Amino acid sequence: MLKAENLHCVYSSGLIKTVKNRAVSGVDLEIFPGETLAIVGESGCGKSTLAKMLVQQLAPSSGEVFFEGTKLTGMNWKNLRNFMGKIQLIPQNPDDVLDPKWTVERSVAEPFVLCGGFSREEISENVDALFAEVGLSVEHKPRYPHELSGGELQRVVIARALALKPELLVCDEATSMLDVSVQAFIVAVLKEIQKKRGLGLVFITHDLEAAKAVSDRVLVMYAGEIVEEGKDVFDSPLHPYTRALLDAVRYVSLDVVLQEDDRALPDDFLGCPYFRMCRERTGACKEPQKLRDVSGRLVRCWKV
Amino acid sequence: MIELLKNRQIILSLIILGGLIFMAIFANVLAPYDYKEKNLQNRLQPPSSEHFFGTDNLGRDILTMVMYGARASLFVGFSVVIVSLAIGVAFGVLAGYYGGWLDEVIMRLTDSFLAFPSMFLALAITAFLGQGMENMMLALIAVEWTVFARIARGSTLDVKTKGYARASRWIGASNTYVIIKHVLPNIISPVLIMASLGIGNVILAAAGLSFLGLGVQPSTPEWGAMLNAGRTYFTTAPWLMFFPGLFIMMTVLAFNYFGDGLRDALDQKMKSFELEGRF
Repeated sequence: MLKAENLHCVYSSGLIKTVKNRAVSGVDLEIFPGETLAIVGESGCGKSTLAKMLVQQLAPSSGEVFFEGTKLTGMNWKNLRNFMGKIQLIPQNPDDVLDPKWTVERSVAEPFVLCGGFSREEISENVDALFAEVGLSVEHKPRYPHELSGGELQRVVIARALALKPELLVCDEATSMLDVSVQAFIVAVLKEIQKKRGLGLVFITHDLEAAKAVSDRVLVMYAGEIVEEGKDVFDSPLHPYTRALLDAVRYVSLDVVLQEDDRALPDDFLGCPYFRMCRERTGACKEPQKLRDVSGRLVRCWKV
Repeated sequence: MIELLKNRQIILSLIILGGLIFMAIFANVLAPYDYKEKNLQNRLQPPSSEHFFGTDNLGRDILTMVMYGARASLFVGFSVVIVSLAIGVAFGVLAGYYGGWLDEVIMRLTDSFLAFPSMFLALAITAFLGQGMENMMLALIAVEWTVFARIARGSTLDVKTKGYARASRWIGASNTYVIIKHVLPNIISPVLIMASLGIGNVILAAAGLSFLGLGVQPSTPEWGAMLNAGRTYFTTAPWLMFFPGLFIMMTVLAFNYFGDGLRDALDQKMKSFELEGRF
């Protein structure tokens, strides 16, 4: 359904844009209808940048994104508008979607208003249905964002995203700001909606438990690259980074605390992104690594 | 709105301002004399039961002139601020929203206006255009709009980083729609606070210009012009300057008080506040 080919994103900063920061490099991925893909990785590994590029909020430095065969990257705004409803982003922070001066009802109704062709009654019916779908009651409708709890707000955001009948929802750390019980509830709501509507779900998170619970397929990112991809990644991790990530969750030990300084690699380094941190590295790891198919699993490590 | 009225500063200033506006509107009914009525036999009378505020050098009743003067002062204050606000907010929002070269051009323009002390700039403009109320108002607008442009731009940038404006864009909203529906309602409270403070400043500046003889003609009653006319008699008949001065002070104080109260009320309780459609 959604396909990304060789996506790169380089943030430049500094006076004459000389400081380059590779956020995402060479990511290929495909999302199939009705599937849940979890993208996991530590903070700063490029997950959110990838999400923004997938929903076209950020233009990739190079690479292409296709939606059902249509190339979205480089498309002009007018044509892109037709696709925006099909792919919706659910951000971590509801502030990114909800206007504090608008009632949540008005925010959820906004997509219908912008779309045009709906009468007042139709909009109101649709909004009611969406509120019911995400488990909010009618009494929430006239409230302002500051009068709702985090979990309720996130449900409002989901309701708004569903308004345009999307085929793909990209949840960028959608549950990270919530406490554990509410997280579980939001995830349940999302899964329920997915089952009912048959939509694709990209679930970006650093919560490995949540990723494991919801996903059909997992994609592990490190330093802007995919290091491992496939089913049951958490049951039998192959890449050393995936193992370290799982270990870091299982036992918090000083051994596996990843230090920022150590991660920095020279710009022209083309080898394994995990080179500096890997305990199993050898000289061969300095060579560029390709994602290899190891019994149905894609792994970026020559050792497995 | 009810929340606003719980603020003591706001109530006090509203009472004063209400009184002043009432006085200005109904000056022709309330004033004991005609402001054009000259009575040279009664010139420079001290305050008495006949003339509460005394009379001036032409025998005109000062209370009457202060009442009519409120018209000119408040008219200048409100109209200058409203026009400046419209111009400033329009430029500021465009600069903040679109950014890039437009932002550069508009902001350098406001910088060039801000580079001069405001009173000096107003003086220069009135001196160039010639004296008179309209020219004075033009000069004050030229000074005042930059304040609103700056505030509006800053607040617009803030709204832009919040993301809800962009979120509407992603579902197909036009820039005009986003500016009208999302940006303006969210930047309006700091702008209104500045406006209420600005009215006081403008009245003071207008009085200053009139005092220097660059604003309103001495024949029309205006507080600043009255101060100017009373200058010569300050030692012998101080009431000529005292009463217009008192009213300028009260008005400016009331507007500043109102602005402060508004800021306190809006800033602290922003979150629990339903502002939409209230202004």
